[in-house]
Amino acid sequence: MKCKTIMHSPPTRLYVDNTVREAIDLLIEHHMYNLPVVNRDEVFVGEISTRRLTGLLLPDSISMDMGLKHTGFMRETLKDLHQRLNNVSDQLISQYVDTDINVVYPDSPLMDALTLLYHNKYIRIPVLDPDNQQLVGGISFITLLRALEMEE
Amino acid sequence: MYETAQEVVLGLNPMWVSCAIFITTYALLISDIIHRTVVVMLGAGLMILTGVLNQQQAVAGVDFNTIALLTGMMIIVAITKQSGVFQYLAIWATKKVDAKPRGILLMLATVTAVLSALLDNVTTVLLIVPVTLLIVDKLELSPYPFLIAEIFASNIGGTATLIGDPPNILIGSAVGFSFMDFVRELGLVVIVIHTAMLVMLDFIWGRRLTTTEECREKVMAFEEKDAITDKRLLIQSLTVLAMVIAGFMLAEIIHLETGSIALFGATLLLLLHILGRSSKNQSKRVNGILDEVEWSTLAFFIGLFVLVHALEVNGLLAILGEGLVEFSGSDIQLTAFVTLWFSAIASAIIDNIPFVATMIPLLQSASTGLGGEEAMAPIWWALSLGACLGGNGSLIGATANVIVAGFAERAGYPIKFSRFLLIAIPIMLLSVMIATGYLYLRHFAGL
Repeated sequence: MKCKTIMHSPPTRLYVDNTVREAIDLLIEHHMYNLPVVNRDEVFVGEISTRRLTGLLLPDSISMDMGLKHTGFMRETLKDLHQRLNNVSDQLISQYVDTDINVVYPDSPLMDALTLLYHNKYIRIPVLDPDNQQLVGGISFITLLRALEMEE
Repeated sequence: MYETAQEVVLGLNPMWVSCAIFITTYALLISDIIHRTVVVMLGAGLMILTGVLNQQQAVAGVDFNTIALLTGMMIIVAITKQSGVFQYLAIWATKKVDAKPRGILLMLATVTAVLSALLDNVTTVLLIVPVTLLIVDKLELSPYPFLIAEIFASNIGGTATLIGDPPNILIGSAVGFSFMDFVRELGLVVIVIHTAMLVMLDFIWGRRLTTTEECREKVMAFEEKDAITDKRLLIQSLTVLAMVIAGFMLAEIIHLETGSIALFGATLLLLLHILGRSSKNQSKRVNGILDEVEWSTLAFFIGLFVLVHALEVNGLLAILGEGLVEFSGSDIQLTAFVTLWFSAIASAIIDNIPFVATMIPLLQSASTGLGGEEAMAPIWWALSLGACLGGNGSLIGATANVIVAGFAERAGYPIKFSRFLLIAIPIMLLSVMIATGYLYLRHFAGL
């Protein structure tokens, strides 16, 4: 079975020139944990995740590579977190996009997508047009369940 | 003695083949275009494939005491750091000076130096730098002076003990100096050098390090006791660490090599770490800890030992050793000072581990001409001081420097190579001059 058999239509996406604030609003609106990011030609660039955005609420010494793992000694207030969010909310999301994302194509075996979902803890695998790398759809566990229900 | 090959591949002279492989390996190490572990393992492999060494000789060249010591300490630190004790120390030290930036600079540098004496430098900066960045972020200060101080302190502190810096591990293992030999011989001079470094940094930055009362209160609000994530683990790991260090101190009396002590301590701590857990959880914990062992560093050491051993068995180091004796006229004092300064300058430019690994057999081959093993002691201490303190001479002088520079860059305060040199060279010169004076007074002044 190929990915195109069950993939859902192009998912909600962000553009590289959206701001952090716009990304947060869209994530909240759609109750999503991550969203694909494309450029204005709809070419897939990567993903923005709530994990990455959570890092923006933290000091660099925690969110950086090899940063602090335990910070129970800190006495942070909501005001501190809010301050940090305000500092970055107008910045473009392009600098926070994770570009190292596994993708599949409509003709890829479905098992490729399911294996990626399982091993990489992804919520959704982007499906791209192999000719122009544009985002054409997505595959998630929910997509799979819906396909199974329809089969029944 | 080993039986050496008379001729190797293509009928070439083994000494020159080993020399060519060694120089090429060194050039590749300096160029930094291929990972250092791959470079030395390739060089070591070529020594065997070309017939310079056979496999038995290659294995005999590996100092397994050093490998065991490094592995054991890596395991102990991997478990101990999970307790949060290092963050506790950093916060405790910061609060002891009421979070005043000038005091923090001195305290965190001193904590770094002490930890570097007991752990390896890279581990120390990996543990201290993130918490330093957090503290200076709260104080709304540039982390630059603090990180620079920690680089210097890690290299200076590591000089004080057998386990503080890889060159010391190599020297101690090869020459037979004990943990206490290092403390007795280098402890005092390291304290003097560290103090001089702090005075110099305080003179440069001290008065400019100011912050607001509000920022200080934020740091003073840190609860260091909450940095401890697992009290049971804290007690277990500190107990084992203390036992291992006591073992190092008593190594001569209990007739055990440091590698055996460290590895047994590590195994004991691993046992305590998994005791009472399910079989699945035990596997997860053991594998998790072993994943943290720097296998690439261990492979680097093994490859290096084989490379240097090839030079040794084929007689090149003996020739260089004779040259050294001829140059110095068998003058121990001159040889010690040349070794000290040459090691410091070389270690500022190239990795001090391969440098010391090469110098050890070279000096050993010169020992007869220089008056025998006992007369050589000042030269070994000169090598240790030069190689360890030389690491402060440039940003690439020691692995810990590179690690701190990486942190600084990620925090948005990149440490430029040339800017670092402006302070690193005076600090290195000051510390090596102190070391020169110390060696003279201790070994040659006849006091």
